Amino acid sequence: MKALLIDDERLARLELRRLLSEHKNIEIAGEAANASEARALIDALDPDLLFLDIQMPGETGFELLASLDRAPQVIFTTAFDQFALKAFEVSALDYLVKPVVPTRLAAALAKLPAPQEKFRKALDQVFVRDGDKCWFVRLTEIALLESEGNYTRLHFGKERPLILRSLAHLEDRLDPDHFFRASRKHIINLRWIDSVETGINGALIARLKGGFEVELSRRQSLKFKETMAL
Amino acid sequence: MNRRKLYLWLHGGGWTVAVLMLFGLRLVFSSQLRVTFLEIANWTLYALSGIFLTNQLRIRTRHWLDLSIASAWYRYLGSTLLVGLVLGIQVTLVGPGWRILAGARFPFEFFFGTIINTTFVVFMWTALYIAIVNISRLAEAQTRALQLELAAKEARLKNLQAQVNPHFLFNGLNTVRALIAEDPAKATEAVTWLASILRYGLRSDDAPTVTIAEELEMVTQYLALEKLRFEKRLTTSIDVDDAVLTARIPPLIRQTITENAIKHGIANLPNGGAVNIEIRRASQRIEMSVRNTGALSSHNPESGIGLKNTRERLHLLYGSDAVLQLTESNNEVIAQIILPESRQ
Repeated sequence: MKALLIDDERLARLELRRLLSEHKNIEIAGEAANASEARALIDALDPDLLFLDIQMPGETGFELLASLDRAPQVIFTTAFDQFALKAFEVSALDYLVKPVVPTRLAAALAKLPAPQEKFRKALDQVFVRDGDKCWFVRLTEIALLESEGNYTRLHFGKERPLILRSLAHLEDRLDPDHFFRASRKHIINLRWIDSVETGINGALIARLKGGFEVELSRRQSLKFKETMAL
Repeated sequence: MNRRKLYLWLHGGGWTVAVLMLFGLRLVFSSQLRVTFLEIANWTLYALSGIFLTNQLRIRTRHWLDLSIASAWYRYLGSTLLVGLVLGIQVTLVGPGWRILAGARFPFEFFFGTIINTTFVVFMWTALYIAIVNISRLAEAQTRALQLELAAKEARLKNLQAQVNPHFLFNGLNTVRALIAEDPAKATEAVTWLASILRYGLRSDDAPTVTIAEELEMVTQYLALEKLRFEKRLTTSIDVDDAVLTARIPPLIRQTITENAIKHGIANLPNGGAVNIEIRRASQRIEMSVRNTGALSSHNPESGIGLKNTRERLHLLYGSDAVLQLTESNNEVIAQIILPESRQ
């Protein structure tokens, strides 16, 4: 597993490196001392796992994650930060407190899902932060993406958080086998479609599980019929 | 009820009761039972004059309260007698004195009687006033002492949280653990610093002040540890006038400010910065400043609490003689404390 160490203190990274030397399946691909360094490394190395410190100068670990198009697996590290600890609790994220206890590290690594085959070019999960709460959202759980200016509102479960990406930006990165641009305002998850019917003006109306109803534009209605060979 | 209101009630009520009693005495001991309009008017005027004169007495003699007991009492006795005399003359002239014009003899008994009674009333008034003032001053002093004690305790507790706490402690321990492999000699030193910082934070003695030298030793060790953590990102300088080393300051005040400089200044800068400490003496005052690279954040609840607590302690110890201000200029945040020089 390719991992990146992200912490502003060199000695903290050194310490984590030492602890990880016990775990032969983890390959440390690089180190970063702040969010912008980290972003460049993530783009270049496409790691499977991040060890991410929350409190860093400039952007925090949360801010870094929320800016990524594709969030890798993450194990958060922090010395002590009430706000972060609270976020971990409410969001059930995995974290380690520094100094890291070796058995806790082993447990956190054991919990990680096995790295998928390399076909996940398209993003499969995003990190979303909305006020106090944060989530890793699997794309399969998102029923609907709704454009709100430069932001996009995600509809999954009972949550409706906004993320700072435009709908067009997301469309380019979403797997077209699973997501369909329904109109200027909406992208729908094809797996969440319950039924489709034709509206009065000939455009299609998609009913999604969870009670959403999205009207497709005329052009996209045609495209939808073509792709689905209806 | 506020103090002004209380005073007005006691003042007005006291005089009303006193005049009613004097008038009652006159009814009991005088053979003449008929009450004339003139007499009522005279006693009313007497009460109003009494209210006016004793109030004047209070305003003009307020500073006597701070004199020694002996010299204050001479003055109070004198002024009491004077007010008694004035009121006695007034009530005699306005009342039975008129009858002299009609050929009656001067009412000596009434005259001296009233002077003695009035002097007694004014004397009681003064005694009561002094007693109330002193009792409330005592209560105030006690509250102040309690507040001071509480604030010191709170600061100790806060410091405990800041030192024994969280961020500093665990980051420090993590640094030391990394150093054990990398540089064992430095790790040994770091453990010693950490221990003395914890010991200083957990001090059990209740001394309200420490010498600047003691506090500086602690600050130096604290900065040394933070330098291990931040490495090249933190540079420090300490510039202290040797003459102030034995002067005394409240413990942990310097420390709180230095910590803020690291926590809210350096820790937020990717390329780090400098923390410069300066302590000077200027005309019986000690000027301490901590400058750090960075900008004042408009909203920072945490530093707000630390600063508020420090301000409170300075105020309780030195009143308006101590100043703590936070300013920003040229990409530098400057925390400055000015307090009176003291060696106790």
